[in-house]
Amino acid sequence: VTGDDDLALQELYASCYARLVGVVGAITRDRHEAEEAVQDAFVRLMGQWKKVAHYDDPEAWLRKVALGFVSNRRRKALNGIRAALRHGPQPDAPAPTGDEVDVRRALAGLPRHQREVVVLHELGLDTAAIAQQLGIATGTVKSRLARARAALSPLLREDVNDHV
Amino acid sequence: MSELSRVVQQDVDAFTPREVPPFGTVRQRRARVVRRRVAGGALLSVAALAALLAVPSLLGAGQDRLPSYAAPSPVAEVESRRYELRFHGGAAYRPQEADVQACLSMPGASDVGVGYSDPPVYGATFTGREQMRAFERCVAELPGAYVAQTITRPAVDFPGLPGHPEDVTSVRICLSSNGNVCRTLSRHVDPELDRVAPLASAFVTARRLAPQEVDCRSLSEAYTVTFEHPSVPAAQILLPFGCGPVEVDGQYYDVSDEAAQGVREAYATPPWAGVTDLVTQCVGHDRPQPLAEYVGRTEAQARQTAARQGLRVLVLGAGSGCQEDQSRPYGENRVILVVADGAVLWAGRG
Repeated sequence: VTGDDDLALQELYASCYARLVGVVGAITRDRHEAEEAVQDAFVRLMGQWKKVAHYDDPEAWLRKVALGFVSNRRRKALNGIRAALRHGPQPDAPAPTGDEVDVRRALAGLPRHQREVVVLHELGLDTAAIAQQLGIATGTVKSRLARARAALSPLLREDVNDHV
Repeated sequence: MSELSRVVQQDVDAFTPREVPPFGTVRQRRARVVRRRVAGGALLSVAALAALLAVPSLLGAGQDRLPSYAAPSPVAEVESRRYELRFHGGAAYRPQEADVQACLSMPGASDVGVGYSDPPVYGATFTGREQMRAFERCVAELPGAYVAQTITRPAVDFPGLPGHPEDVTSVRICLSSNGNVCRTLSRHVDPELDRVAPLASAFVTARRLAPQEVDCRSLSEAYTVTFEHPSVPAAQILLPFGCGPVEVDGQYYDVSDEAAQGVREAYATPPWAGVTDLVTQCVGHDRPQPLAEYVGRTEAQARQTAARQGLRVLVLGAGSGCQEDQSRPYGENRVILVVADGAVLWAGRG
């Protein structure tokens, strides 16, 4: 990594680290895990910077890699169960307030693969971009969104069909 | 904005860290990853390694015997360690030779040598734990990609402390008498970066107690300490709030005063210091830290968050006490902030 590359990496890191942790954290419901995944993504980026630097949106690449790390970790279910047994409920989850309590609970209760498409969709990514981001088919994104919205719909005031 | 969008955006905000760890954290992480890969490769290349060690000219002028690569011993017994510095990548990645030599000539160094390969391989033995750490810090500062491989990086035989103290990623401390509210020191957070490993290291001298030595087993009020490690499952350490031995997996240990004091100080570190008891009395049903993080670190941020959610704000000074609030019913649509110098020390609902 040359001096210029290093500077560019640092600038990218400063500009999008917090945002990436926020998005990944909203999906995983665990800031510590999100920070781990995002930092691992930057570690990988350091090795592939010469290629990724030419991408239109390196942040999207980082988000994809970070979510991939999360998925890999989740596959190690035994470790997760051990951690859960050790720690009990995650204290890092923000305290729900007011009318959003039920929606937030329902969102948190969705399977992670549904929650991630909902979060990415609500952040403005269309189904094609989500599919590309998660490495799944567009149809899969749509079906997951539909299932998630069906689960959430009793709690939402607006017409959910507007979104899919 | 739909209700769902608002909730998602609030979640993202809530999980967005207010402080970004320095980029050096990622550099160090990459160095560790590369180090582990090299270590894994080295295990598969025992023959090659043995060949390297068999050539005295590679590692130290006049050395006729090199330290053993024997099985790791507990760090409490390790007073010296053999390091190997490897560089990978092209010439552009390499730090200046003078910088490398500055690290290799630090106090505690012996058996310093260089392997005449391209890129070169350096070897050095460091004696003394402080000296080892100083050397590791020195090579961590070298610019560019490099590998500082610890040839012997022993696990610790204290069951509550997984792996090596320097590899512990975070320590989580909960206190039973405080509603099991937990505080986490994480290596990812800058101000806490240098506090995790020393706290973990303080536990390595723990001495297992024989049954007849255990005269007190009361752990009704205790800290639960968990050292997290990336790959080794952690056991919970129960440290009494007062005096007495710690318990790990049903076994009792005597830990140093440094370890016990370190846990207490870590738990009492701001934003908790001085207000934990106060706010526990006021709104003991709540979980202070997450909400403080949620509403914002400054009074201005917290007021914005509260306004967005239609909450009223009650601000208390850090030393003001809150007797007037003890009588009020819980569940009011209000956020209570304990503020000092504009910074939110604690936030609760009530």
